[in-house]
Amino acid sequence: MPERLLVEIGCEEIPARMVEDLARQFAAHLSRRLQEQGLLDPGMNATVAWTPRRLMFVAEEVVERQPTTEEEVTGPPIKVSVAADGAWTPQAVGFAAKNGLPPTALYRLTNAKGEYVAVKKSAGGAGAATILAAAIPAALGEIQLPRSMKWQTSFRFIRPIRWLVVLLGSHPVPVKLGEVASGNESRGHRSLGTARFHVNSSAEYPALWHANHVIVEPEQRRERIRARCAGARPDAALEDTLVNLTEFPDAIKGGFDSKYLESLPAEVLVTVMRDHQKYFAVEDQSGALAPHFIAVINQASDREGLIRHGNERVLRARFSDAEFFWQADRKLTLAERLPKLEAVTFQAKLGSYRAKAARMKSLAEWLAGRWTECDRDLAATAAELAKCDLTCETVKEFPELQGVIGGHLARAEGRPEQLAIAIADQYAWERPPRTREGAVVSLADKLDTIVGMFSIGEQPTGSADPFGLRRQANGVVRTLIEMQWPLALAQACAQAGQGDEIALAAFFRERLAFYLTDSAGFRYDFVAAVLAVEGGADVPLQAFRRCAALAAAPDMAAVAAVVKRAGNIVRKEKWTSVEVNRALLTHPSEAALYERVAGLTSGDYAQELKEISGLAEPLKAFFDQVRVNDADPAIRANRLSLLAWAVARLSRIADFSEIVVA
Amino acid sequence: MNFQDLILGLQSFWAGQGCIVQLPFDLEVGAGTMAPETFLRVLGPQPYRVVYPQPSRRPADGRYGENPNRVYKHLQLQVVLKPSPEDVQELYLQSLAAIGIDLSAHDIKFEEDNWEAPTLGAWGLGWQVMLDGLEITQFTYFQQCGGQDLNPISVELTYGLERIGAFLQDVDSIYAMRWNDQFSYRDVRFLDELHHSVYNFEKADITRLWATFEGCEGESRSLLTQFRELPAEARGNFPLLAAYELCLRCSHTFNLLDARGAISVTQRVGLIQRVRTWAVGIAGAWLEQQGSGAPHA
Repeated sequence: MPERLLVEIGCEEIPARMVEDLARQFAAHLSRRLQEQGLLDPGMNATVAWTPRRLMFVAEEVVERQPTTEEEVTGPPIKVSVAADGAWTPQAVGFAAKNGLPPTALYRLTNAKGEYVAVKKSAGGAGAATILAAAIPAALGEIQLPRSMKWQTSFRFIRPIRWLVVLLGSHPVPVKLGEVASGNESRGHRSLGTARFHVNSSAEYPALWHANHVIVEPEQRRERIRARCAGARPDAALEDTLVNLTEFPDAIKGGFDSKYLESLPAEVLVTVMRDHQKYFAVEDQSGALAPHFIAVINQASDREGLIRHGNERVLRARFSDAEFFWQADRKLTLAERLPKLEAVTFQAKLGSYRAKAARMKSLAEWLAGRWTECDRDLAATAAELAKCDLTCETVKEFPELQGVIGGHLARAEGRPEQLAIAIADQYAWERPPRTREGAVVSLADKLDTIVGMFSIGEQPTGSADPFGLRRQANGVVRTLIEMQWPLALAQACAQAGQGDEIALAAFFRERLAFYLTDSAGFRYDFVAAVLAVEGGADVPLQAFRRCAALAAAPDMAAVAAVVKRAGNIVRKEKWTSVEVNRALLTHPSEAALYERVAGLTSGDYAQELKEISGLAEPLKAFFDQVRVNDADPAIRANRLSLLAWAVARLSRIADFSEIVVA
Repeated sequence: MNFQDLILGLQSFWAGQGCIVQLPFDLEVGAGTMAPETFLRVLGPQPYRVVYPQPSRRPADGRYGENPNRVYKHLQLQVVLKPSPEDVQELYLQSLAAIGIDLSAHDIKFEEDNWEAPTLGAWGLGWQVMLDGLEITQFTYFQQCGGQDLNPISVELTYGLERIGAFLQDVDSIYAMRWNDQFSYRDVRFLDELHHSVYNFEKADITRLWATFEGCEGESRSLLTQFRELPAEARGNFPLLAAYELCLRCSHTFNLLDARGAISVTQRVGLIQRVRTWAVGIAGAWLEQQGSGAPHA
């Protein structure tokens, strides 16, 4: 009778950022193996669940035994299989043995090709226990682990495995993972549940775990966290972490001295709460930070208030430390910090941050000069001062706030707000800079880093990108597109330094393609078509607009097909001339095609594409009615030139040969 | 609970688990891991269990006794369990109960924290243990030490004694902790912090420190070279422990130079690499010398 299979791999705390992925990988590998072995119907979905201490897998209707199949295996021809005395030859006996059968299983078989020896081999029929004993360790071994460890034997996993429950219905299935043998004993929440509890049957999942204060279902933990964190500033990443850091979550609300709301930048408060303490920040009705926090605990309640008291104590110490640093940092101005950057190395071969600041300044001047309504002096000053906060204690304590702290220092020393914003927005990982000057500083920083690294041979290779250059280039592309800045990258890179132009162009092209497909969501073949146009990746904003126009255009499949056909002819003939002699356009269809193409709109992508889509008909008419291979070589040449010219003219927005026609 | 009772309580708990109660290592170290009782004991096959408090000196963290939580010399309680026992997390939680922490009234989390000491060629995976939002212990399964893959695997528990003590006594400054019934942490330690902060940041003689660094390094390297030149059968009583201690002196001298601002960024990377190669060399030599035998034979 089919039964419910329950697998629980009990571990010491698996890192929160990995546990979901590991649980899902394990479930996918195990499901696949059970389906391949015929234990699990491919239509049945397995349930995957996890907590920091366990990966759970539950599958319904797992059969106790594989179905048996019988297969006829044909062996050697009868003439080499039967000896003169009528006995089986060693060759025939060997064939039987190879199939795991005795000679008595051999029989004669006649088919279209002649007479052979054969056996009937039965496959399958293995018990679920046998299959599980191999499939569970194999599925676990298939998981891609970011970094594994040993704890006792040579067995490796993300963290030590301490118990294993495998139950098919009420039958414990013996499985071994390293030194851990399966049993029917699970473990409860560390302080709320029973240390070890007995599982009689897989039917007791999940109620028995709940009774031991283990909420195995991540979504239920998420709901509990949401319900208990009312008023918290939403933070999806933090919520995920907390779901994966608790077995039985509750939340406490704590407070801190409201003087810190005045004395410390809000980003410092939030960084301490969110990144260091994993607390949710709390906002007041106006959306400003309130002097409260919400901490998610792995505990049923804080009945004595000790947990709140302890967390408040820790936060107070951290804020008091940060306040000390911040006050000390304000004793020097950004300009006074500039010479100190001499002592901070940017990269051994590229010099100090002082040198980088000088390069950023001149690049910012050049960039700002190429953009309307951009304050060139302000952008240049902001670029020069952008890295000065690296010498601050606050930044040493909170490196993720580099730039943000510089912005606050600029404001505190009475510099213009626009300058503070431009410094603060230099990274702009989560949103583009707020101002054009900020975008200039951000680009000057990133282009200097990228071109500099390429110039010393430190470009990313394969999965290795130690300096995060891909992320930097993503930032450049996104800023240019989202702030609608039609900057040409090749020229800007040349301004930033001596890098390998071809490698840089290919690198940015790849990042632009990534943005257009992954962030902007354009069809990959549209992106390929747009980037295939010569120079089509150099101005990211134009590439984006051409993609957008393609996405909004009427169906281009028909025209794409005929343009592709025209292109093929031109390519096959290796035809390069695009000089069309109008006097030689003898056939009305070719004359009509010429007029339509020559009359195309230029500059308005949407209009142009609309007109191009209307060219499917004249192109088809040309192919249907006009013979390119005319007897007169002059006419033939003119027709090839007409096609080459038309293909070139039609391919300014996109190379239609890249578009996938269904 | 007085501060000294915390130390005594943890020592006594781990003594009950078969740990040798060792005294603090008598040279300046930046962390309990650097003491030979951890660094060398985790190498090789011999089982070992040890607990010791270890004053850990980090010159750059000195604050003239003015910061309520940061000190030049903080106290760690170091536990090494080799091989790692199956119930090591439970034992650890029992140790907290032994110093009066009622786990049912507090929030304990094991949060991912992978430990690495580049100068020691050592790394491990584990957690920082959080008690009501306070990091109280580094819990590490050592994977490599001195560049050597470890087998068996040791667990290292490093308790931050000041943090736990201030938590237990519910004070906002570690200086306000009672050390015993009569003396506070301030009474015992303040001058230590003040004098060493002045020395580390203002007075330490950079030229002499460099001379010390180079002298210790030269002697230690020379010892290592001599060891390598000896035939295998003559290596048994060669003083590798002395070579290691000289390496530790360099490490501390390096930290002092760093606190004095005497090490540039480029120099720093080079020096860390130099100390690492050398510590790895000593660990390799030590393993070779001890063979498969007992380091404590």
